[in-house]
Amino acid sequence: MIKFADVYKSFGKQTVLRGLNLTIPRGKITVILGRSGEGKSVLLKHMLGLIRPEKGSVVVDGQELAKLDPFALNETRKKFGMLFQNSALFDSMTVFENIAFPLREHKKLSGEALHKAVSELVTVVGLKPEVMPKYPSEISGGMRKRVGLVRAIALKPQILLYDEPTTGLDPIMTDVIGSLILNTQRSLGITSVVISHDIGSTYGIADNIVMLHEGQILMEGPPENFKKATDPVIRNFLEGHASAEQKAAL
Amino acid sequence: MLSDSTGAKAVPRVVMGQRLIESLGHSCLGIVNYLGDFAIFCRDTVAWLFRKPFRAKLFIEQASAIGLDSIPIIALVSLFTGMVFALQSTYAFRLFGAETLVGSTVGLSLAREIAPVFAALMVTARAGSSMAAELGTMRVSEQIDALDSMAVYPHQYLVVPRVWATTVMLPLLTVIFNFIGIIGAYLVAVLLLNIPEGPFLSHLYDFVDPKDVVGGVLKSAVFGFLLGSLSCFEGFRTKNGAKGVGIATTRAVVFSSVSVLVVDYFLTQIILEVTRNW
Repeated sequence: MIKFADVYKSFGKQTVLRGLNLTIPRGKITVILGRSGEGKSVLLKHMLGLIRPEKGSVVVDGQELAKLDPFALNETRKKFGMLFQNSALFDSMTVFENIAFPLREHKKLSGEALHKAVSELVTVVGLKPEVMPKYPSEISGGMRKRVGLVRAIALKPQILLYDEPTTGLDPIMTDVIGSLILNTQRSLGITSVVISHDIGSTYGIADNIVMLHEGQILMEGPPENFKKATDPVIRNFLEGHASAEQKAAL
Repeated sequence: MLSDSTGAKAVPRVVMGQRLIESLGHSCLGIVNYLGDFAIFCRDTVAWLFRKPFRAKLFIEQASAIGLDSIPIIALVSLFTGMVFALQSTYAFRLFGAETLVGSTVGLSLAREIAPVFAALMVTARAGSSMAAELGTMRVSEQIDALDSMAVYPHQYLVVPRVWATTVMLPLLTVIFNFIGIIGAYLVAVLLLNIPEGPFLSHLYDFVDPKDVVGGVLKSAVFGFLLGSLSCFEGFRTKNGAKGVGIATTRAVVFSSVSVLVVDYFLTQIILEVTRNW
């Protein structure tokens, strides 16, 4: 379980998180919604200990990340897999090497065993073997997301973080990625945290939705509750309508 | 307002003075912070060298990219450096009939100063800029965060092989610089300007001590660590996309080059003191 307690974080003069309290339930898909710049990615990076809170605590399975030494923090990170917004594939490595990377590092696999493990993994996301020798710059955005997802699940993590997994993809690929998130969740039985702007796929995959607004949680609950929400900020976001003030600010 | 005689003019002067002091203090704090962060970065680079897993394959890859791939440019620069140095020295020494000292003059200058400093500047331009740009791109495209997320220490994986490769390879490049520089000087002095070969070589042998070469090589190892660390440090701190990568690369080259020249003075003084009675 991941727990945020009264977390504050600023970058320069801009305060992103303002006393945020949040609990991510184990074994569920939690989707975090919010406008751009609300600190959703910052929230995700706090879970991995990539960013430390200025105040408050982030606790993963009973361990407060800010109090861990680098080695203990690394052990905690082994519980996680993360699909980055732009996939963050190593551009100097082929697709095969990208997927093989965590297996080489932590399972010490090599040769035939490594090839077998990578081949099994890529079938999960429907990647063809012809993609393996290509570099990330030679494949499409949707494929890169799938490679990033395979790399993230290679070590069978307990918690999988997705940073805007469908941004920049066409509707069909968005649906494919949504299905992959659901299938991964079902097959591995893991905790998933998804940052998304895509309301359609959010309703399709989420067990729990969290709406982030002005550095705090505005609303949290199952998709049904959000469909019935009356708060104008939430309604405007879900329906994609800018308020009169937001239009006037242009 | 400044010329107001009612006393109002004192206020802006005070404010201006405060702003100047604030600005100076801000700059000083920035420098102290930078040096502090860099010192921690260097400490980590040394500490990670002795922690498993040892990444010999990555070290060899970097040593090849930084060292072997730099040999052609080092050879070209050293050849022409030796040639032009011999040319200038010969014309200068001929004024008082001491042109046979050209070999020893070029040899001493190369061994003590020119080879380590020029090799360091060439490696900074070729490999330092490349390291800063590569790590900077990895930083802004979240590839370094991806390493962290996979429980791989980025400092150990990315920085340690690069810094130690520059530290080991720069002395070797310095030796090559010395050797080819002497050949360049020989070609110009003996073959073109007809200085007798025997005195040229014997003076070179008599005046250039092994301690001169060793001192230069030791300096180059320090330069290698310094420029490798600074280049990786700038790459690691990159922010703000493509523009940030450009800034990091420029800073890496400028800071490394200036640091090499500044540190060279102090190292030379130390080496001269230490080797005075050898």
